[in-house]
Amino acid sequence: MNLDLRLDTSGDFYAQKFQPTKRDDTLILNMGPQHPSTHGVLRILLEIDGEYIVRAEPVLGYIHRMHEKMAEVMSYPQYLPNPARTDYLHALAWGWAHVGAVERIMGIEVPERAEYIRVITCELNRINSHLLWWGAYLLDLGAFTPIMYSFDDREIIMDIMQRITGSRLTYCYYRFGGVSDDIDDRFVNETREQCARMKERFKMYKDLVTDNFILRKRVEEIGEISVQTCRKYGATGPVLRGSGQAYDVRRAEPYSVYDRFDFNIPAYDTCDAMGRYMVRMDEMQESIKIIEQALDSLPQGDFIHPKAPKRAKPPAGDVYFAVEGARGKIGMHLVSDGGKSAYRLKLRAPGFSNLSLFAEVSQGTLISDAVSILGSLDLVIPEIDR
Amino acid sequence: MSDADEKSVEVPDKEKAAKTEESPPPIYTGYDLDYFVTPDDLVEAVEKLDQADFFLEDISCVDLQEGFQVVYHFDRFDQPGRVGLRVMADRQKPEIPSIHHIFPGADWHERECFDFFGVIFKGHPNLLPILLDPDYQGPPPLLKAESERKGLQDIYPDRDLTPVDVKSDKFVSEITNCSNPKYRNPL
Amino acid sequence: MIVKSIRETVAGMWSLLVGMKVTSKNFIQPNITVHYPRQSVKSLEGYRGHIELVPNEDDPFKSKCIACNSCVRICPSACISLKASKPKKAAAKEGAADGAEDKKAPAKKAKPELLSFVLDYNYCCLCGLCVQSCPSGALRYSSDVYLAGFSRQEFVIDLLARLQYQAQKKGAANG
Repeated sequence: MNLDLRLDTSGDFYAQKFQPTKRDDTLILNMGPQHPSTHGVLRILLEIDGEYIVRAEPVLGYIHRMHEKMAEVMSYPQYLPNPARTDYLHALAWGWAHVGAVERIMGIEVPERAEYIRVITCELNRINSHLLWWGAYLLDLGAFTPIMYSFDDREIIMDIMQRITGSRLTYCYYRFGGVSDDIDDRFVNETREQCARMKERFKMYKDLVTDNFILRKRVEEIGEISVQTCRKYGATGPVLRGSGQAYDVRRAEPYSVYDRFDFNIPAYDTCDAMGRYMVRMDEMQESIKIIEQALDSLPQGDFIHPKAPKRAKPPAGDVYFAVEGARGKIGMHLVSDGGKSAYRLKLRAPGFSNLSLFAEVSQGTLISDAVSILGSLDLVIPEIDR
Repeated sequence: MSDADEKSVEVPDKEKAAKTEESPPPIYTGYDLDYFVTPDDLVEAVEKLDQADFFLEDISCVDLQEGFQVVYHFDRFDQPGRVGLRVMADRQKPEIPSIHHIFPGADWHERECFDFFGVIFKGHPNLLPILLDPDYQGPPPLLKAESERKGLQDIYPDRDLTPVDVKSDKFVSEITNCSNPKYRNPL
Repeated sequence: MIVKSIRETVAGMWSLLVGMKVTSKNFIQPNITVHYPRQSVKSLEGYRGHIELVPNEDDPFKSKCIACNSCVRICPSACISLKASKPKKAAAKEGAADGAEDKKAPAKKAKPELLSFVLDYNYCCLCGLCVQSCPSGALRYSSDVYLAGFSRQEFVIDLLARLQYQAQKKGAANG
């Protein structure tokens, strides 16, 4: 029996490519793919000098499912459930990006009521996503209780959504030209109640966590990302807004009826993990503001266009459609040749670009700070790997 | 080449389509500017976009009869306006210069493109599989069968396919003013 | 310098006390989690379980399905398979495509009769596209939340047999 473990130091393909280094006092460490702080199956190859990171390289692809190929094989309506499986936390935004791209290329009109329903459900989903991030991020940092409070709130939102959409996480609710089911008075009342409740809860969250100085020591001045770095890597969403650039697709390229609502785009120029934390906490409150405005002005009418095509067959051409997801800009580049399935569908995952700056940002930080940085990027690995 | 020209073509198309009751062509395609660029001019075009404060959204690729069409999407933080750069790569020798040194974020996007289509980005420091298994043997998964491949004319009918002159002042002024309402179609 | 660090420490300790207040407030609140096998949640309305066939108004043993195959065609996971007897008069025209069948159905010719309707629930992604695409409203969601089994075979469900079993049970209960 060979007990000399040092013999097997070459590692797998990526570890071998990572090996050459000029220093001989550093250690190569694999973080993941089963590390709890990577929220799934992300693997990061680290070259460490004691507790400090010299080099970091994320290794992707552990949950790659080739959604882009599926889009070319399945017909347009058959692909409807797929986008929700990429980012399961903000499933509706991905679904919206897909139906939005098809609607744009076919010129399908969406009734006003459907647009409002989409805004309300998508924002509820965004709150849900941020709540889960909040709980999970604090779990990474060692605070166990907050995730219990966040799941308490999530549960109520999921119950509200389940009655209408039929699912709790991987929604398949949007259709070409509308949504699959109408909302009723009970949904409106329950959503209003939840909005009122959430406002109280945010105060509690602030007292319990945001003001807590142990948290502040873990997130302030950690993982500073400048706007220029964000631009070079194409980072969007809360990562960019936490660097002081108030860029939001809902405002920059208004889709649907977002231009009718009054909401702020929170931005913090501290550039650190605290900035990104604060952006998400504020964004939930902005989402509540949008939902309340949408509920107040909810028009009557169809929830799906009566002439919405059952079997979509878009004309030849290509379009790009972008929406603002909880993690940043979701884009769909749809190329159609006039057939019943897409000729090519490219999914732009915000997490993919956001994670790509990790290698640069993590240089010279402590491993425990790298965990904090990773958490503050809000990674959803199935979305990155697609 | 600019969207303004496209729009003027589209309007009569739309009227015609309404008469024949076909689905009308899209009004706003999501691109404010859309160029074909030769592989040699790519780096220069991207440098100019970098100077105009654009960020790289993603790199998409389409398998066509003429070769691989690699589409770079750029957008801006302060003013909206999406610019698409389309580069045709030869099928037998799909080589395109890497823009990794201008936008480090392009690193992963180029690797993904290499993974799915086998397009080689010259000058890329680390062109390894990113999403696929490194042990995967076989053709790139998104390659189309010969019979399914469409030509440029099938997908972009009535479109001028001549590459843009990157060195011209017109290109620079167009990309700097791409949020200009003249170019920006109403949603 | 010292004053600043003392002030910081005091503010930090205060923030911990505020947090403890929240925790202790919640500590005396009633329990909100549900211990599943002993209790169950009430908010199951709207739950989309696997699909089931809707019985015919006249004959609860028969389904409303007209065997048009549109659910089979739209299913993204290809987990529905159905068999139907060919309409007798149309049988002369062999090789008639599925699409042609639903055109014939409204005519006076004999309707195709559903022989089996099998759902492979292992692959179902619960998108609900089949229910929406059904022209005769023959599909609906079941509400069986606590479905569990020991093998994959248990989730290959013959929905027609299930419908007949349910009708039988209902009939026995009524009479």
